[in-house]
Amino acid sequence: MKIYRIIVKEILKNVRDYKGNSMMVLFPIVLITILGVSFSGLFSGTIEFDDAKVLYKVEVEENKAFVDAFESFSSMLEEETGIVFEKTEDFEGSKARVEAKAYSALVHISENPLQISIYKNEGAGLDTTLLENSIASFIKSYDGIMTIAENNPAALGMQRLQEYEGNVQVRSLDKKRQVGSMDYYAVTMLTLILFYASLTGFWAIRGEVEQNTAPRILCAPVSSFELLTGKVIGSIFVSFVQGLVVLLFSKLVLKTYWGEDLLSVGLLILSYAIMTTSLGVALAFLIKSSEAASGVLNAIIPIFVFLGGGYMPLSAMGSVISTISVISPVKWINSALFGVIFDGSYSDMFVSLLVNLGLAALFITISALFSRRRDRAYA
Amino acid sequence: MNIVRMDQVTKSFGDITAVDKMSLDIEEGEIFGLLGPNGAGKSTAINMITGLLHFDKGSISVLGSDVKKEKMKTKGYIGIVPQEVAIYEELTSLENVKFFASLYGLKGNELEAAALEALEFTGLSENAKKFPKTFSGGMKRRLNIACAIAHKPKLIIMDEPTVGIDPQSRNHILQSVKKLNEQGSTIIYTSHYMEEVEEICSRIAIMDHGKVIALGTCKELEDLISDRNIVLITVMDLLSGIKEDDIKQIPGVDAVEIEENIIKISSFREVSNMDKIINYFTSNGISIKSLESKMPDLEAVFLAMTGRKLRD
Ligand SMILES: Nc1ncnc2c1ncn2[C@@H]1O[C@H](COP(=O)(O)OP(=O)(O)OP(=O)(O)O)[C@@H](O)[C@H]1O
Ligand SMILES: [Mg+2]
Repeated sequence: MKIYRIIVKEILKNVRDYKGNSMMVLFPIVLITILGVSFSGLFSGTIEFDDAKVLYKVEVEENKAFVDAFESFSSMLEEETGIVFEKTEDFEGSKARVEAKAYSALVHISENPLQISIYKNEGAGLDTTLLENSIASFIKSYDGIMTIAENNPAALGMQRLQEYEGNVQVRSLDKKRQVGSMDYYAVTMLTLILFYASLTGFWAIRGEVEQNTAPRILCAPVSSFELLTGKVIGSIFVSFVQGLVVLLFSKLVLKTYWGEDLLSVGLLILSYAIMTTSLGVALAFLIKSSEAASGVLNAIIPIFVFLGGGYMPLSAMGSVISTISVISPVKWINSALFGVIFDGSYSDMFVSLLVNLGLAALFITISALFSRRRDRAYA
Repeated sequence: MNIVRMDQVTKSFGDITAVDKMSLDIEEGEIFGLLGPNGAGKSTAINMITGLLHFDKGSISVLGSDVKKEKMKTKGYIGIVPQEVAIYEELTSLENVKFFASLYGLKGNELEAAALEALEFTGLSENAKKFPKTFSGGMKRRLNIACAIAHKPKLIIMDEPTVGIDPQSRNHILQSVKKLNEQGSTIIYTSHYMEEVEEICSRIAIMDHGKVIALGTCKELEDLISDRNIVLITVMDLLSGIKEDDIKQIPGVDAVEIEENIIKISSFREVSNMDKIINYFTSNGISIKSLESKMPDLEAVFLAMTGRKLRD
């Protein structure tokens, strides 16, 4: 009951904190929009790639119209971006040439079901990302045309394609859905800002010290355990809701893609909010000066976020950075979210949950130990 | 029954012994004053009674229950007005009072009514929905009190509740203390303003260096120095080069306090040394503006017992 009172008070206090809320909610939304728009070059065709070469192999008997459409699309892409498309018949040999980095990618168009697969190297460059995105948008518009064609073929002067079953899809070696820049930054800005939720945790404790209210609470029949539990749960709740607001806004207003499995996405975000908030709580017990503590956070957050691919896709950075990125919990939450949202893959999700909850347990243990040092805990 | 009993309580912070073998019995219904200069150990003593601080030696009981063994129970008896204002700027007055009262188990309508009553009592009814950000120092102090009394504690402990506020708010607070006492609460009131303590307290303990150096009613304390004479000498010049130690050399003088151009001298009654005192001033070329004999007060008691003044 007392814990509940402390939680409710913590939430009310944070709801009133307009400055903190706008930083936690408005800031990421603005960032998603700005980064999404200005870095769209990373994800779609505005950059020139003069020396990029792509192989493509067609294995289609029935859907000739689709192949025609693809070929006019690829020549248009050639004109616009300088990526050269070369037709090939040798599937295995082409794959080897991509692996040897002589070509950026191999595009394979096959039937039953009708689909395009892109084979590329792990951590491939921007040209491949561009290729993926362009092909994805080609398929989207092809899809649209097909729908019109089915209903009113005369309008387009096209023959109705009875074979078409709507299962055209992009499949690269590791992505099942294209990632637009807005989609990308929606995920990474959310995890960026939720790292700053550690400040919410920090101030949950530090605020009680600076307003002299912690000793006052502890003079009431409330144990230091109850106080800590109330503060931790209250601030985690606040951080989580702030994260959900950003998620919902970006989904509903910015129309970014969050995948089919919102429950897993929510679970990941919750575990991450628990981790970052309890980091801040622990820090409040370890470092008494708020300048020093926010200095520490402001120093480590950008590094971990950078290593997590928060500002730029890891694939656009060197392999050294990709390797050391494993130390960043941001890398794990980001790849877990991308996996769940775009690939339907869950292996990184379990790593991320483990990393987040493990670290949170560590931070909360530290806090619990320190909060029992009566004379000094809240001084 | 004793509402508070402290027995040989000692508390150190590193090398500093903040409270040193302190023993004290406070009876139900008292307004008990704890008087002492900065650093005397008043807050430390109080924080041990409320269970906020552990102590090294001795024992403390509140209403017969040991504060270490039955902590939650004894905490529940007490309402604390901390020395530093302890309220949430982001919550309204009413929300502040309700929050703290709820920690003592009040809820629902009872909680709301108790909170409103506490605000009414401290004269903050009209500011119930306002945020303390906009409050004056005196209003914050009153809210600080409201947060301590809503749950109607048997024992109210006030740690220097009048520091740094205007005379009007101070008066209001002193009147509230009396009223709370009339309504049945026992009060422990710490201060280093001896006028306040003299005005409201039924019994007083004077603390210095972690020890109770004198205890009794105001009258009893003043009787302690009935063998002393206090003279106040006002001199013309602020920088007249008077040396405390020189005056202490005069026979019969036991304490001297210099505040700007007023010199307070305490001497034993049986020694007649007035001529020697006046001689000190005139022979040093310092002209005396006025000279008066003073009734003993707590300030003088403190001066006589410690050789120091109460306020710095
Ligand atoms: N948490 C602490 N850590 C170290 N020393 C402390 C601590 N709290 C108090 N002290 C020391 O203990 C002594 C008594 O302090 P206390 O606050 O009890 O005095 P006080 O009588 O309340 O003084 P004031 O009138 O200034 O409030 C002082 O010397 C103080 O410096
Ligand atoms: Mg004090």
